[in-house]
Amino acid sequence: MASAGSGDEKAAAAAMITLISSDNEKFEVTEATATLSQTIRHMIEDGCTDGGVPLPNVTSKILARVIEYCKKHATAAAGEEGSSSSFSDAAFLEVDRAFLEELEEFDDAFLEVDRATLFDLILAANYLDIKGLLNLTCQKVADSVKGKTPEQIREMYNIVNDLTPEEEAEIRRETQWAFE
Amino acid sequence: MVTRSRKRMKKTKAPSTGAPELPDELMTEVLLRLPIKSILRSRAVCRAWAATLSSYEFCALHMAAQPDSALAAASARRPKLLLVAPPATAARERAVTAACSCTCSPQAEGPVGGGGADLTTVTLALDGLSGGEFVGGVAAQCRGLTLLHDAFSPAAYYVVNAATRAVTRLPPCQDVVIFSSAGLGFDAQARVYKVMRLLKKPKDADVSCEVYSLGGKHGDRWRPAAGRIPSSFSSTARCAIVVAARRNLPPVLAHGSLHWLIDSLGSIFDDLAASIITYSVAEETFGWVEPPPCGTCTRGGVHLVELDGCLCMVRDLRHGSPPDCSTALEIWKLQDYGATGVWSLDTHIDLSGLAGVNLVEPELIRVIGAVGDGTPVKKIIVATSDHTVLAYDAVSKNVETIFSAADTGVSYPCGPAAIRICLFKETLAPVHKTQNT
Repeated sequence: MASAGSGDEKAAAAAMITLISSDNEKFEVTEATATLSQTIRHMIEDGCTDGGVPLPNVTSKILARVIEYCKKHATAAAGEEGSSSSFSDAAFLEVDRAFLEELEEFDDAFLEVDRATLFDLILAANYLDIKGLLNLTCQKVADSVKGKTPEQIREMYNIVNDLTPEEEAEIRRETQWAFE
Repeated sequence: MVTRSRKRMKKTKAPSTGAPELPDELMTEVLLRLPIKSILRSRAVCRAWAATLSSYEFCALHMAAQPDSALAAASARRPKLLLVAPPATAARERAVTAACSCTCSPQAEGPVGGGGADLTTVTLALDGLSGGEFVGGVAAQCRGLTLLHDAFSPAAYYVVNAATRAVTRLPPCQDVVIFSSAGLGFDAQARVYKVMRLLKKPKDADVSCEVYSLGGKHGDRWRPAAGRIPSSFSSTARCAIVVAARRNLPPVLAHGSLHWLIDSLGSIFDDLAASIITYSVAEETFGWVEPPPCGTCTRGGVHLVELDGCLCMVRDLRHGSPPDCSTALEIWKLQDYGATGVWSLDTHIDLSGLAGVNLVEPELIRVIGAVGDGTPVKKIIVATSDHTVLAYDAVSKNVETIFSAADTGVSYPCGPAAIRICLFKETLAPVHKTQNT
């Protein structure tokens, strides 16, 4: 992993993309970071990123978080590629494991946000088409719904129960075990 | 904010309190990541959620989101097993026979011997199981549903979704049936699960095939299959039923067709037209498949299984006659199904050379599936008649016990040995209630 490929890597690293948030803040990121977003990847492929990529749906606050995520995970992806050729090498596996643990810790800390921010991250991940981030954030919301009763869910999401008592009783009866 | 207009769930909302909200399609993304139990419970939130969470579309998305046991590398270490076991004695006293099913996800680093198995025991009421007896051999599940049949009343069938714990008893046969054998498949065009059974009625000279569509437009009844069995295949089909019943071998679903195998028992019939007969689930037409060059006549030791989407035949050479006699299993795979159809020997498993595991003794050994990340097959899952499940690594030739019924206190009644374990996928597939449930 020494000198041979480093020239190309530097060239790739030098390719910077400017992302512009809805409140007109500019973020310089590497192409490797930006292309975790399929939406941006397609824009780069189509050659329409000169002068920056406006993201009218994402605020600077959320975009900064999204970029933080992408930076971390772009490094992880690069690390995986580098080590795949030495897959059987125990030392590399050990490094991989440590790296994955670190990534998991990062993700856990990353998700320590209020619900409004979490929802905004889901919207941004969906708009930018970042699969990993969408999965991570949706799973976080799902985990918060998991143990809840229907009453608690209605309260959390501000939903009016429009089922008649008979209908609700029927639903509960059908799969009674799920309500126990 | 992203405003996607495609509304799937029209929620009735309270006057906005400024609480954060997600568009419906993203809420669906969230709901897809809930465990089955939470999904079932969330149906009671409101009408829109009830409709969404019960819809065919949601069920299909949920199924697609679950890692396919044959594809996901992660699940290779923790295959989900469905184990159908007789109920505790207390349940018998009430004269209601039930079957417990357990899903088991052994820990990756769990101790060998299934000690790390995480068992969820579910009691399902199988009303009307005859004589307090038990179910016969369990075939591989089809998209989350499993077909069970009464071991002593072959015409009594149950369709079970062990994840949602829904059970339905299919209507009994009108006529007295001597023998029958049924399998479960999914007709992707009509989006309907079908139970197809071969049966021989006393008054009929020929074997017929009947179809029961779950929740389909045909109502709560068996109807004749669209395609008939040609009379030249009559005794072949009769033999297929006999083999299925005697060997506890349900038909195997592969390439959209159910496959019945005729083994050495076929030698009592002298005019067999084929060794493997088929019924397609969508077209409901009869057919047959050429057997492998080794033939299907290893005494009591051949069975079919679907591995990696291919129809395979397993030969247990412990039952073979010389020179094909050894303590080994052979797996033959059929490539180019439906076209030229070429069988080749895919895997040879030496049963005597496996460290720490006795695979020479068990009466029956069945290959029930494979897990791994596609081709080449990473691990072959094998179940034995003493209800032990092992994972065989075809590359390293190592074997690992992933489940043992003996460690769980589950006991099986004596009688014809049957394998009552299958690989299992958790889905929301609905089990439509019939008048018999």
